[in-house]
Amino acid sequence: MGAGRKQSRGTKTFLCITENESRDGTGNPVRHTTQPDTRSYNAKIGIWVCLAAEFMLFCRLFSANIFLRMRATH
Amino acid sequence: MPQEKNEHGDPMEGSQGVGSTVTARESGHHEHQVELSWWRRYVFSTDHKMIGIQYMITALFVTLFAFGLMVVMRWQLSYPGKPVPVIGPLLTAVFGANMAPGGVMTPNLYNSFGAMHGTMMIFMAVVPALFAGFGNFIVPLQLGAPDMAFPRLNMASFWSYFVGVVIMLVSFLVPGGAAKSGWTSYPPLADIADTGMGFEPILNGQTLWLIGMVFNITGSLLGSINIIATIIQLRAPGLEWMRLPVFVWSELVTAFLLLLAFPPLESAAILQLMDRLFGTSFFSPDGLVVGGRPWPASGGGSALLWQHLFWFLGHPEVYVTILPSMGIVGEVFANNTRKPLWSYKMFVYSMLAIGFISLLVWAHHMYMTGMGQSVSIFFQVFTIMISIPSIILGTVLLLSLWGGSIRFSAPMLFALAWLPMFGIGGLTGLPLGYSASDMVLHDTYYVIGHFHYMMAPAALMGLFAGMYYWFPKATGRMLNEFWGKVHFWMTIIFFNGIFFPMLIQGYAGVHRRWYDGGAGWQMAQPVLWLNHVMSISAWILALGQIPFIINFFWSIWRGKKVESDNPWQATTLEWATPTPPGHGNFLHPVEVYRDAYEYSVPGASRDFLPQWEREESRVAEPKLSSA
Repeated sequence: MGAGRKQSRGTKTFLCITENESRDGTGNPVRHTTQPDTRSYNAKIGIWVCLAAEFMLFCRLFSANIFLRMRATH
Repeated sequence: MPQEKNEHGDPMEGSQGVGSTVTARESGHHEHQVELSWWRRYVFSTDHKMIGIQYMITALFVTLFAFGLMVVMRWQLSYPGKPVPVIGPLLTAVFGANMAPGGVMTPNLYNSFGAMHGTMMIFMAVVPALFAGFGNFIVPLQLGAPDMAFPRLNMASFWSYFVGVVIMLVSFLVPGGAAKSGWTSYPPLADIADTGMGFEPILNGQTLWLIGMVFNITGSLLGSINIIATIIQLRAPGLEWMRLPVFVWSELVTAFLLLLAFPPLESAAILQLMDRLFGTSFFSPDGLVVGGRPWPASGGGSALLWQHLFWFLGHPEVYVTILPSMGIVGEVFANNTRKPLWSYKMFVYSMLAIGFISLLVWAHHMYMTGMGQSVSIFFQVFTIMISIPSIILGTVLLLSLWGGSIRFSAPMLFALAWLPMFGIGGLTGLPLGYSASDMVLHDTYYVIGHFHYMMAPAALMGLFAGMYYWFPKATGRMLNEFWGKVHFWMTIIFFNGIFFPMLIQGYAGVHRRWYDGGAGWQMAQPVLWLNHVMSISAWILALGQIPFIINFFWSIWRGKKVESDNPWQATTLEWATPTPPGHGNFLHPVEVYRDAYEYSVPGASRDFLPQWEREESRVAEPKLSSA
């Protein structure tokens, strides 16, 4: 697992880091700054998308409950 | 050679830039890289390519396993009540004398294999392979991105899926065997299945099915969030929306479908889990009598509620399987016809329309539930409406062939075969979209034939096309063309040998759940012989996959090496990376200068203009003959 072995293979070790990207300590290239054309950053987009999924999940749970309560006979 | 600098004046650690014809292995760059252990590189990796490969390998294994279940079931359908040859003793040893006495499939084992074949094929094989496998590997490359937007989330997504797969596999070994209420798990049957004497309270087939599905759905949701954020955020400079490759579009639409349609099923699975574990009755109606005794749950639930929640996912799931396949076919068509897709924009808009309408058609699976006429009309209208963008997509691909300089390579053969399979699958769906004809065909083999044409021949043709097309980028070696073509002909012929007779049997009224294949039913007698055709086709289809499996493993180590990073002379960004790409993908920042499929541009010196090349040396513009 050492660096020597990895470098001697000379493969799968190269990448580039632009001004928008850095490494997060685990080797992941990540983008911190705002993407110009969306004027947003990854986490913001991610959390809104996640909220959409949560909205669908809880909508269904609540609507199922309301539906069953409304037609309950006892 | 003078050292190159990027636009910020920083020295770039290699002059073999984007689009070079030197492979990664030869270029020998090792830049400032955080060293990762073997476990972090190959098992708990956050590299999108490794995760894509993990998804693909797991999904292909599940495909093989679930196909194996069906191969055994086909014996029972052709030779009902006779011991399964070769693996009969194994069935008895694994599932016990109660489930497979003397190597004969019992109805319980048959139902269990049927339910798990459907569940595993759809949720754990085809969708993970097409959406997550190719999506993880290819999408960031086609976007010019160094990785997915959330690499750790990506790893969590795979491992959540993997745990789901393990739970499903383990469920075969618990007392009573795996779930046996169909892949749809309709209550009240699913509420009461695998309970009572001889069953564990949690470690039973149906409960494990629900737990496995919750893990699988969670993994899908994490994956779809990641794909959406990556496509929105990590496009390279110049990669405008209408320059995206069609595969990226297909992944975006698919991710939205998963994101919006899976949560209702997750909520339904949680509710059914509560019904089974905590004595609630969300899906148990009043007056339910089981085995001559009233069911102890309080009643007041609605079995139809499950069907609505299930099919709200279930129908979009069809498009979740077919859209990425469609995107792959679009890529392969453009590359192998050496011309742009005929009306790229129509292709994209059609996929968006399909994605949107597919969320409005779920109740066409429920015409037999006694819904009112107005509701029925609503779902009929939208069901038939969805055929419009579907036909546009088929037409775009068909017209893309016109005047093309077609390369009949292995990926192109699979992509070409996708078109008629998609056509048959789509057209056979029309009678099922109208409630009047669906009443007759409902729950017959016609339905099985119809949706398999979409989910097996069509979706898997796209899968194989993608495997043959992108294998060189992932491994640096080509799959063998000859054995690829053998694999293609074996697959296309025997796929049809399985599924076309199903349509005929269905018209004759053969029910989809008959355990004896119709042998005990008078009206099925004239079409019983087709059972043998289907079963033999299924067994030969299994043999036909052996060339692919051998070719796959042989080519990883011994296949012909690629001579450039762009062996298919393609235009999209994944071919700008070294081969195979390292963690970070590109040697230096990549920019996009043109549309996705600039093939055979008049006046260009080559028949392809890659998206990442700024300038193209041009020969004199040809003059119009009338000028």
